[in-house]
Amino acid sequence: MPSYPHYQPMRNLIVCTLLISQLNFPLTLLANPFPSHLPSWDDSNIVIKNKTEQYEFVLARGTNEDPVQVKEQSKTTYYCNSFRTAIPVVEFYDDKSTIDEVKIYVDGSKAKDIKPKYEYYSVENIFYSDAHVCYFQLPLEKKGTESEVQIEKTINDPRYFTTIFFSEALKVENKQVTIVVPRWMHLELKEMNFATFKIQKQLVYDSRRDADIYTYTIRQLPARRNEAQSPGPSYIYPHLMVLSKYADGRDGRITYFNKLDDQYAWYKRLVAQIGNDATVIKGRALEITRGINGDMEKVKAIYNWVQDNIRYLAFEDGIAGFKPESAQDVLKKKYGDCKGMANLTKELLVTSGFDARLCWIGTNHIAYDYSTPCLAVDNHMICAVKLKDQFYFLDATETYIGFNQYAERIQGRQVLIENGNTYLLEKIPGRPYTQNTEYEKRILKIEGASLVGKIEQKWLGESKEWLLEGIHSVKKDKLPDALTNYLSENNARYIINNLTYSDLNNRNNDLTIKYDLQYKDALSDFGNDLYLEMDFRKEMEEYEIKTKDRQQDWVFGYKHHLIHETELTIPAGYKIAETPPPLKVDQQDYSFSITYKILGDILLYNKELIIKNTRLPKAAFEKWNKDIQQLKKFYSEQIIFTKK
Amino acid sequence: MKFTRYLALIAFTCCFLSAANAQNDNDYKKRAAEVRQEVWGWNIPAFKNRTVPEAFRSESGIILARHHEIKAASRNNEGTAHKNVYYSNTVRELVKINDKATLEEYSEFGFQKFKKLNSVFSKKANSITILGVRIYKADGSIKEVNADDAVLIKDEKNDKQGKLAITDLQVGDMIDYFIREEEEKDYSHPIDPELFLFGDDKPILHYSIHCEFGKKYALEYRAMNGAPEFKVKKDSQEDNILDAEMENIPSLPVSLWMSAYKQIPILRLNLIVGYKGMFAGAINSRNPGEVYRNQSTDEIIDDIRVEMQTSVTGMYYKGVPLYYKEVKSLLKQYNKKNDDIPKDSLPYYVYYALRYLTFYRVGPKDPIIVGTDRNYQTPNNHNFLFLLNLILREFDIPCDIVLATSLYGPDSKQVMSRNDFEFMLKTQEGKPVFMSAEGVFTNCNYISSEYEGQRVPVIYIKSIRMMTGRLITENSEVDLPKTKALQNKHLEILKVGFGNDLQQMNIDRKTVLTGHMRSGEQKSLLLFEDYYDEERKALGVKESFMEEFADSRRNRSLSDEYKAAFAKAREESKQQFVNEIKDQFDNEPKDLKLFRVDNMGLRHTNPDFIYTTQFAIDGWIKKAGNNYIFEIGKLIGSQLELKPDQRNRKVDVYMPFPRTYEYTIEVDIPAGYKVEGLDKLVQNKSNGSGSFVATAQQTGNTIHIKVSKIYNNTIEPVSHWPKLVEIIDAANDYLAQKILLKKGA
Repeated sequence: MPSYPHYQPMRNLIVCTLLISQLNFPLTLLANPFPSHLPSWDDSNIVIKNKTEQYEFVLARGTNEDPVQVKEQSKTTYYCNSFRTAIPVVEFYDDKSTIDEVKIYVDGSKAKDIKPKYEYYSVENIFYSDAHVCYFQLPLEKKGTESEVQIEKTINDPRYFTTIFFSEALKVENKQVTIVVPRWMHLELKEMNFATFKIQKQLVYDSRRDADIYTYTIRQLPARRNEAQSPGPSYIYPHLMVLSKYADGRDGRITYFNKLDDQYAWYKRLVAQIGNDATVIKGRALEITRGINGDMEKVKAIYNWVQDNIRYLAFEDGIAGFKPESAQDVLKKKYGDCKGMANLTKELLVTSGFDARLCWIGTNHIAYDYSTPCLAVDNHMICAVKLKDQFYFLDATETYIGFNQYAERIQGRQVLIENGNTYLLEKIPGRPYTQNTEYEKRILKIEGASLVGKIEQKWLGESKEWLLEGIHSVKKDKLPDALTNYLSENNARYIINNLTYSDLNNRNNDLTIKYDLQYKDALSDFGNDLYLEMDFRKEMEEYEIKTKDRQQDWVFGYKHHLIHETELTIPAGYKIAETPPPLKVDQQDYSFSITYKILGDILLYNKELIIKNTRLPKAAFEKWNKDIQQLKKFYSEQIIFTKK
Repeated sequence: MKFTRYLALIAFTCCFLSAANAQNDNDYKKRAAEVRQEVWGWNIPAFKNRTVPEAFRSESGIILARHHEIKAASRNNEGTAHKNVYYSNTVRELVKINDKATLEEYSEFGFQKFKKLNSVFSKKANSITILGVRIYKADGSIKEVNADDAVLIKDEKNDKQGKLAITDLQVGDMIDYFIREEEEKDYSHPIDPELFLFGDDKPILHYSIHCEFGKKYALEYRAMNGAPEFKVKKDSQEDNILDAEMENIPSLPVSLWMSAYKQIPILRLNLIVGYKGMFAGAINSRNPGEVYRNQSTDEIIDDIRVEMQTSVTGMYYKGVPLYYKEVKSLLKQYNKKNDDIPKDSLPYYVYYALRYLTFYRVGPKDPIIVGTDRNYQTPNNHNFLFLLNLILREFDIPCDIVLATSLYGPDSKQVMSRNDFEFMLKTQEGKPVFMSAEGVFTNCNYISSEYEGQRVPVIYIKSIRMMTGRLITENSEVDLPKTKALQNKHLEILKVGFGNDLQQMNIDRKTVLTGHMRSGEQKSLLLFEDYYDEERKALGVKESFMEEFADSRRNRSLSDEYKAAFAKAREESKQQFVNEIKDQFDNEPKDLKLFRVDNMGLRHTNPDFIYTTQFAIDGWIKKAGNNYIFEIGKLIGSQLELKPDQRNRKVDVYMPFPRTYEYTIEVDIPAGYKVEGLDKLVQNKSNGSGSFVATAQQTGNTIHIKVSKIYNNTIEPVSHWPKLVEIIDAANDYLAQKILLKKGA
């Protein structure tokens, strides 16, 4: 957003104001107050000594468009172990839920002076959502004291009550989660990630309430912790999936997601309300495909047009979080979220005569599939087009990925494809690491202490998508410098000239960059010998995982495949007595292969690094670290050119 | 002509009447429609020329036209004797979008749609912001974005914040947008000063400014660094009309070592409600309708004197008695144990005492903050120094109030506001002692780098007439001392040995930071527990707060709590040292065996910040057959490297301060190896702007290395840039140097 320089107001010149300021003059010697942070996961100063959470399904009073509600009551007791402090307490709510009451007690007394604030909550990568936050600072008066927060919430529709997570931002000593399910409410509670936690479950029937009461008790639950490159929370933390099936309400049966058919029907009802205008869309489709022959080429043209011209901008406002915006609106606005982009792609294809469908999908960030129908199982929409009885999946939010290439986040994931009143349940095809190859070929010779020669680099699939994303975020007048900095890894001695590159707007071809290189001071000259470190990039040498603190598996963004070939002419009058022995590492999830070979006066250096599976389990860390150490050691080995 | 102007004024007044009530959504929409009609109707040729000159085709974005319009009028506030201010500020731009990066920049707008202003005299003090956006498509069509579609991310009665996503915006389009801010408020609200910056990260082909200010307003302006002057005229109503314009403004130069206030064309404008009442002289107001161009520094100093009068007298009643008593009490405790402080040392004691009372002293009701967060506190500079000045007066130590100007702001001859000055104190008698209020560790007689070396005004409060609050003052000037490169030193003393496999090194390191080099590391590495205790003892305070708490039945448990908090802070400080080593060497230490602060540098008498670290590091030794290549240059740590676009510099250089980096390194040669290539470690680049000098020699089994990199000056003319590049490149060359550890000594 453009901004303009402003600075502080300068002076006020009115007598009264000066007099008032004099009378009220506060003699503060400090300019900035102390900040307050949420303690880190390993902080033992403040703990949750006890937390009770109760969820009860109730029939709403009077006429209500949401006949069944979920009443949530929580009571959290915080305990100060070592020294007094204040912690931020936050509670989220949205369009489908309300916070009805917040009570705060500090050291046994009601804290009337603490006023919670209720504000819009800005979610990263979402332009506007209905997420709101209630927050306040909670003091812990001194060591050994407790502060307590009681919150009452209402969730207005059981469809939106999908999960109950047990972990908290602080360590929990005791927690009890109770779900009161009257017999008129039919649901399934699916226990997730319970294996490594001691969680006790009790189910009793309360005849007075005619309700089943589920009680889960857990002790000594570690705090949630954010680790980079870790699996999504639904893979890690113990929680319950709440699968609301149906309710026998006052006015008869209300079906939620009893089966996947019901969830599909709910989506389909929303889709039926979109109101796409085929005339407008067809006109644009014709423009896009004009002069293009062949179905496949037309599909590519439409897909690429949406990728190119529609900005990703997410609105998650109430039902708009589930209902795609009309194709003509997205077309007009030139922005949309995944649903709007999928719907526009589909409509452009349908009006061009293709069999295109909307698809719902849960990315690999979430641990569920459609065997447990509920709104938590998917978080994304894409489009599928059928060509010669084969579905191709088009995700226009992946701005720079090619046709028939799939991002890691959707590969192998179950996908719910619309099919009239029924649906198809398929899987997005997996893609091997070769989809994402990064290739570098160097033909070099030695001039003085420099390496000079020609370089060609290529990027495919997700590695290309990643780089193009970066390239297009740079202003074009700064692009040559930015690319030079990227390719030279900000090394001023790695001098790049005659830089050329392939079409940066064509995501269906490989991205190719070529340049002439002068790598100054690449060689060290000692006595009669020249010493050279052959690998300039040394990819992955810094990938050692700090196992001491790491709790979760490591997740790579995508499957990596690096190929590097160098042909170096051995300078006349020199020989290489020996080259380092090859490095061969071949594990289930990754492999490293690097070799040297001398062919006549050419030294060949070939490297292939592969991440076959993106999830590296914690159990493999030790082996991984040893292999990275080997890789690092190999990289550091010098080639010695000795005078003949 | 007269008739047109009359109509314009009517329209102007009406628009403000509507704006004042626009918190209602319908009123807002109505007002927004009127404003859009008005702004799109502006007859400014630059907005009609939508051809991008060939020379700019490769730019990411081009601002073809920017127009800034400010209007202010006043009228009586109904039912009161006070006047209301009506103010509007509009910026309109026409921008050609040539790539996705610029598209992204203009694809969303956030704005304060409505805000109720705090007001003493007016119930309807409001501010609204109105947007208008049009897109010129490549095919010549015009699309108007419905800016009323903005979503509200804050929707409270008195505070509404909006966010607008721009529809149908594509690469190749031009966006023509404006942001209009309208305010109605009473006179007690100052109007923000304006700063027109003739530069952006894109070229600007035409930049125009138009202002219309009612005759009740006084204006001050100053054009700096080649900015255009305002053309000022009066209309028939005696209102002031100001216009300025500039064409073909290139995109801003490099970001490294710049001082925008001294290098970029800037036009500054202050709009002040003129005042002619009975107190006009006392409050130093400006005359209504008068235009003041390039005011003298004396006038701004006079404003400061008047403001000082208010705060000083207020402080006399509130702060001085309390703090003077406390300082005296501390001094009494000190003098009991020590010889009485000589008078020339008294300013130092008083300074450190007030610093202690502000930052160090702990009361039972204070929050427990003992980690490095505490070190980043800053004082209310104005209050701290004025209070200090008055306390020093009580001790019979007269001080001048120094009005220092920043290296990064206008110099003292170009100031336009008291905010352009930073306060300091200077003792009048004997060798001057300067006092500034920067932070927790600022020494007495320390002048921050951005203020040093300048000739600046001073005010001396000769007397204070308590009955009337009047200050009798004298003005003069002073040259602020300037440090030399050797006074601002980062010294690294390293002893390097090898582990068993030669691939890992053990480093025993002592770091000495002097002068301006200290404050960053002091903040990140010092612990409250340590500096509290050292300073308490230095001031002669008998009992620590821990002891006081332990002795008090009421607060006894607090002592235990502090102990726990201290222990936690100490544990966390290890990571701070790890981070510091990583920053210095661009390499994470493997094993931090020792980290210790040797001298905290809390006082002018012992000012250096000194710490010791012992750690292992790897990655700099490479196997070469039976031998090893040792990237020994990396021991000097990461060095500033110039990016390609920074090399070809066309503007003068404003560095932070003259400085020295010095490295004294001893490397134990591993047994069984001999060293080759020491000659590569000898360099000697020296020019008027600085130097890079390195020597290396072997004595027995030890390599002795000395390296120094010096920047002699703060400001260098652009003609000296090649000299600085020579120094910077030499350091980077050194960083890449290697030696050979050859088997078989």
